[in-house]
Amino acid sequence: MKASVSWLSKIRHFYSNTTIAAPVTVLIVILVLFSLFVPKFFSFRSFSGIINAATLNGALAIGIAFLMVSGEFDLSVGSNLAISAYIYGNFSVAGQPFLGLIFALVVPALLGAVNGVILVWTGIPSFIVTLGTKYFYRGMLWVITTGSMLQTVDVLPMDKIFTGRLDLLNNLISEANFRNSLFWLLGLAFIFQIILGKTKFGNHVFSVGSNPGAALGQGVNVARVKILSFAISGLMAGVAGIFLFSQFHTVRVASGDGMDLYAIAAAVVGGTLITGGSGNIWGALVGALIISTLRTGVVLLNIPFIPADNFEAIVGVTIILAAILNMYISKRK
Amino acid sequence: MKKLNVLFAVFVVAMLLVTACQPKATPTPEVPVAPTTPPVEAPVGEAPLKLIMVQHALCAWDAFWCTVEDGIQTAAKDMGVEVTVLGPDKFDLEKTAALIDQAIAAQPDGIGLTVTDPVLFKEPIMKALAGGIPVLAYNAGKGPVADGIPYMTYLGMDEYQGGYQSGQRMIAAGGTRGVCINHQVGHAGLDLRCKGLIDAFKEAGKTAEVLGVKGEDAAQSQTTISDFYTANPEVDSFLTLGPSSANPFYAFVEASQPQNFKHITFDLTPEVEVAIKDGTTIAAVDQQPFLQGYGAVMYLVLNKRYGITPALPVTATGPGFITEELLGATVDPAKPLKLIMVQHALCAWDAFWCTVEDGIQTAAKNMGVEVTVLGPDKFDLEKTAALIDQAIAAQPDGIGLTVTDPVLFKEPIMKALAGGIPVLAYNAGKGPVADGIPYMTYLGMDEYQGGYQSGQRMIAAGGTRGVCINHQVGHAGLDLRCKGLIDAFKEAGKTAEVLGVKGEDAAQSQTTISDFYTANPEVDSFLTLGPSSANPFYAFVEASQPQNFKHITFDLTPEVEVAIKDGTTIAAVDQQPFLQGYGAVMYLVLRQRYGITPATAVTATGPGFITVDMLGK
Repeated sequence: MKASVSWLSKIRHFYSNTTIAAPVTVLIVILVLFSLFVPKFFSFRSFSGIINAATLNGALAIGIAFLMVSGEFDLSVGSNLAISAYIYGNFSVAGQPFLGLIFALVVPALLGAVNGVILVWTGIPSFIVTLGTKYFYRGMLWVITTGSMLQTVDVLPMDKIFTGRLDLLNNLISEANFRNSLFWLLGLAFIFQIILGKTKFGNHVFSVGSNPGAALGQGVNVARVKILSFAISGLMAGVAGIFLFSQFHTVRVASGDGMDLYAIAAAVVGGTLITGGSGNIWGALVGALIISTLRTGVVLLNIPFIPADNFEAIVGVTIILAAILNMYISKRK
Repeated sequence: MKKLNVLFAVFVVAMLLVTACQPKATPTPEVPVAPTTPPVEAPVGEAPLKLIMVQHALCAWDAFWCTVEDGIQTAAKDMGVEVTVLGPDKFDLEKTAALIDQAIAAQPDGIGLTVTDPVLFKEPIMKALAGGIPVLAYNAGKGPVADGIPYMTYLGMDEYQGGYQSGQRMIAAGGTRGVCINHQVGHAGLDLRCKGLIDAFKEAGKTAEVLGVKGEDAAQSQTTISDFYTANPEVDSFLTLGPSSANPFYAFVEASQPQNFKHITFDLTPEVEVAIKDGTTIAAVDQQPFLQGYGAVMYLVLNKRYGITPALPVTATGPGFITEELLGATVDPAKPLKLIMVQHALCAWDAFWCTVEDGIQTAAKNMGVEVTVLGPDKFDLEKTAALIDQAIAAQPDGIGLTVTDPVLFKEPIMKALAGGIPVLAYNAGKGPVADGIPYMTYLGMDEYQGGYQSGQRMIAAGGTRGVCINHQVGHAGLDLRCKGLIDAFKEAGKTAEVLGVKGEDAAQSQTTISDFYTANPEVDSFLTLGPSSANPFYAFVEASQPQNFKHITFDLTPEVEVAIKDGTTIAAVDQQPFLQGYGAVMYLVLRQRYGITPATAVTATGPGFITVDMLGK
């Protein structure tokens, strides 16, 4: 009897102290339920499809979660994604993929930092600042590209590294369609989780997010932390842009539009608090996977009155449920 | 200040990088309104072409045909081609069929004919098509689908529209209750005219009905009309379907002296001409035989020279409406004309528009008119509206424009119309009715037909179940494409459905398509509505390797071109921008020189289908 009580309390302790526990549990429950009840769901085709679908959203969500821990939002990541894809695409087509790679990361990071500078400088909430830059960045992209789509049918060798098919794995498992982007995502999540959880800078991000006044009092350079967090959010939008062009060889001015909100949804579903000061990079990735699993489940269920284009309703319910769960857990703390 | 400089520098660098090396890339046009690339280039250039037209009647012994032949010869002169018109010396279908054989033997570059008897003419037409000679029908026929002969198109009257637009005109004149006086109930064409009238009244919240009269007995018909009017004195709008009902109608008017009525009739006779002049009749509905002849030659030439195909199985040359104003106008084939086209984009900065402008300049050269193309130096609707004002100030003989913003453009367009300058829209617009601006017509893609004909092509290729992959559910044009596909499958006794994907997230879209295919493995026909859905579709094909599927997509991109060549994709649906430019100039010129008006509110320039054969040219 005593043993079982301690077992239960251990679980309780785990759930109230680890932000990632809840989303992982939700993901597992959904996966099990879908595997049992959704026809054709339990397959490597589905699993690899779910991961591939989360490629762009997952990359954005890593940066967004980092930024949200510092207490801010970034609605301009969708525009930054498109800018990055155009930069990488144009350089790649011109035979300069390495230069393209560098600029496609640096420019969105700088544009992200610009968001931070405006925020620190003016004190306007990040929601408003990035709402403005979201439209401004995309508007300027429209003007400069004259609305032209960029597409190439050339084979670009470097793309294999980012998003090529992971045939080593695919050949072993029938129907599987894993891509290299999987490793990049895992690697980036690992790095940013280390930065957030194990470094002094990460500590500062948490303290700025939970109580900026107190952080300032402890000598934390709040402005610097916020600007850098915005730069990271921009940087990850750059990564997403590179993924987009390297896999699909196509970018349009409208690419990534509205994905900012999906990324925020992934972070929230993944246990990151909207008020800042709490969150987890792995959680954001899991949040992106939950959203993409739900979509796959809905499509495979083939319910006539919930077509895939009505999927937004399900994402909406998921966000609210996740927020309730997060609130409940943080209160128990 | 320092911070501001830094911000500015970052932005400038960012935007420079976005455009870095752009020319080497392969950009294709995109939203707002120009979603396709130039189609195939002119296959043969302006080679001297030889066409043969075979008719079941000739100007030599039937005056009606003089107008048709005038259209043919005018087009031949405009386009610099040699046209021979063949026909029997009296009505003789056997002889006409023999003339088709004779035409084929001469190996012309195209044949136009009147399909008076589809059963008798099928064999010779199939022979011509098998020999690679393009064939189209004019004046007589029902279209390739109804006739069961795969010729290009049939140029003739849209009977339904004849009745429908007559109804609209009578309602606009104050009509409240209508009657369609049908002298041959059961005749498909005449019944369609009545259906059009009734629908127009119904849409306006009013009623109209059919009154059958015996066309062979004028006296009986007059009494029937009179009795009907006595029983229904509230009827004030009368449509007669030809001389057989118009003639007893005029007798009724003379005898019964009804007051405040509106009358429109089909076909212009001397009696109708007098009635239009004295105000008894609003207009005569005309099938515009000149346009039948002109259009037949034009489409054959455009097909041969530029790979253009007519968008619809039936290309409406009528209804045209002959009003008092038009009766007074004089036909002047040599009238020097100055036209101005105002576009929201230009070839100078958007490659898509080079094809449109090429169409404009080719038509201008062919028809011997002076055309100026105006447009802003970047996407700027305010400036475009200002250019319309500038165009009006120049007092041209016609203005063509892209109605990108009907609210903003309404005022300047109304000003032009008030000044007596004919106006039409091309490439962007929804038609005079939907835009709420009474310009002549809108030349652009028929979205519904794009989906419908794609469905027919996939079914013909063996497709049994279809899906329309829509990257922007709720977009009126894209939804219409899907509706067309679904209707085509439904008509063939098969099913098709819509799959919504998120066009902004290609990775998500690919997985959604893959999931849908897993849940519905019997789906074998995929329609994608543009690069935003075609691109993830190709990623799905590469990853999931579906077998034996059929795929058609809208808009030709480099990726689609490769897919058509390697057999992944059957065809790309094209809005035929060349025809938009060419047609805009042509209709303005025909209006000014011959009083021709476009038959329908929307004149379809697309869908055209770019297949592997056309890419090869």
